[in-house]
Amino acid sequence: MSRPLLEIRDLTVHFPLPRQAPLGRKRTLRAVQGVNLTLNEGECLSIVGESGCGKSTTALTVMGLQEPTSGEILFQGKPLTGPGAPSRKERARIAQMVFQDPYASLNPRQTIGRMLSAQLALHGIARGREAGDRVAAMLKRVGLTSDHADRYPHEFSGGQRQRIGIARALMLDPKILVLDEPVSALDVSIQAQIINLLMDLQETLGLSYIMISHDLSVVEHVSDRVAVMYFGRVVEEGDWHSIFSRPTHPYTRRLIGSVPDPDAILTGARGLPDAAPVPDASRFSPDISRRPNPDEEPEPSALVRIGESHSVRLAQ
Amino acid sequence: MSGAPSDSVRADPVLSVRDLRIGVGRNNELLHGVSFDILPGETYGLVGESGSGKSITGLSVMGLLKRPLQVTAGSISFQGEDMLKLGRRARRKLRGDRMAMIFQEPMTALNPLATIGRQIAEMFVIHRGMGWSEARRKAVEALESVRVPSPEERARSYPHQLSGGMRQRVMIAIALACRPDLLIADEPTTALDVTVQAGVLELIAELCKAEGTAVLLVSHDLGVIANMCRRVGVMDRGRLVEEQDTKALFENPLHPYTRGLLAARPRLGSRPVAGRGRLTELDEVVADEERGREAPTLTTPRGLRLEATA
Repeated sequence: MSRPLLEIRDLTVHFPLPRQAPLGRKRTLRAVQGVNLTLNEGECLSIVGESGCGKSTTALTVMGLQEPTSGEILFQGKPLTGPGAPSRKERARIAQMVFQDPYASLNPRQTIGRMLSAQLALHGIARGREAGDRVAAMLKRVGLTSDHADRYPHEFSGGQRQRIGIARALMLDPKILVLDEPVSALDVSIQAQIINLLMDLQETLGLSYIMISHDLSVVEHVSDRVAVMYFGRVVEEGDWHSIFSRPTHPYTRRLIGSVPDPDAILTGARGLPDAAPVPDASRFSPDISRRPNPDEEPEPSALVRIGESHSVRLAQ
Repeated sequence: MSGAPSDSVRADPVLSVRDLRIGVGRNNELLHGVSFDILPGETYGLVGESGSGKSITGLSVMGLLKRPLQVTAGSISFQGEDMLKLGRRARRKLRGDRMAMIFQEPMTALNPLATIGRQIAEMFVIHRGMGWSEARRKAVEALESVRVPSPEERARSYPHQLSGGMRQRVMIAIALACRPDLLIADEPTTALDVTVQAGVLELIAELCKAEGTAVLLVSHDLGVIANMCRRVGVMDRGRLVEEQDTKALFENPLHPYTRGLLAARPRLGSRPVAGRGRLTELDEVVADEERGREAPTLTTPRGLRLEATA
């Protein structure tokens, strides 16, 4: 049994909104509300949901780029947030991020080699020739060659840049990679290459992934566990198989049902698998037939277990 | 509509592109002789990777190619008229009236300084010679037809006050305001969430079907193409490598590039069967030599209408 590497406990992130009138009531945007997630060692946890559901904010708090309003994040049992939090330098060796847009996330004025070796120097790991060797080895690992180190980002294609983004994230040997839509800016043919690379690296380096994505076919292929977020809350959570074979929350069902799937469309075999049974007289929360208001207190609800490692949010 | 095969054969295409070549000057060619037809009421998909030339094909039909890109050879005939022989004025008159376009990013395509009611009304004033007050009334109707809730109120809002899906609906309202014969949709839902995407695609399909509008849908998403199109052209490196009816394309792809493209995407529901294995990469299926620029387009004839739309 794998042990928890990262635990997110009751995470809440609120943002103040401007008042609608000069003396109007104070409004807060409840971006993330009471999220509990566990990432086990060597696992890939995916967070799915539409834009604005709080999935990126959750990831940013894991990275330490966003202060939580309340709740805590534990890495191997030690807090990542609050008073006893590690410094940014220590954090950098725990978790690293791969960004969505490989065009915007690389410094256009630095060669790849300089960008990658700067981290090594900053952390006092290696300098000079040794740093160069490490950079070359890393470039080879992500499917590039060592002479790519002398080039600038604009000399690479989108897929190659995403490889560089992955190399950059891996230079300090982090335990966790946060993948923020790692393939959604790439062409279909390149997506397969990057997904294969990520799966290979996970196996060889024993990495744990938190993947944020809205592409459910990628999520199904790569994830071990899946959390579905809707308006700041996790509405359904479980291992990949239960989420995709028994999607239960109406929002999860809508999400999976909206994926345009060529085979299903052309064979006419459009249809969702059956939902798992839920306790009698219970109602799903939130009600997805109307849009919840993110600056209002949500209705009381709880994640209820409906199967082995499969839970869904029901109103209380 | 009748489902007789002779019916679809006899109809004159709305758009007929022949041996279209686009380049930067004469020597740097980006599009190497693309030919296809779109029949009235047909939804034709162009699918391919970025840089394959699908967007510039769409833009050249609209006459919106920006210098230094230019059409170097070939013809684009729209309802029997050669677009490339028309003057700039005449083409501008056609745009928005007989042919219209929906762009990928609604935020950059809408004017941030004008209310959306005004931006829709503009179409009626320019192309239909209406007065502004009448045009505004028509704009509210147009908003209603794309199912924007409380259209009167929304007509007075600015683009930044709307969500992405609503903005895309506004673009559709603008594009379809004058009931064009051809709609070019360039990645109309790429910037949207999946749940919103489904609604927007359905809206485009429904409105175009009601008016018999022909659609040229440019997309990299095979799922969207399968969902919307009757006939599909696959583009690679500035060439149309294959053109087939949608069903035939997915069941029996002719060109190795198409086979590679179909194999490369992870499919929803495949993991319980195939496991978490490696995905097939495109270059494992198609060799570089097979992607040369001189090979002809592989096509099969259009099938029966009923069969294709079923």
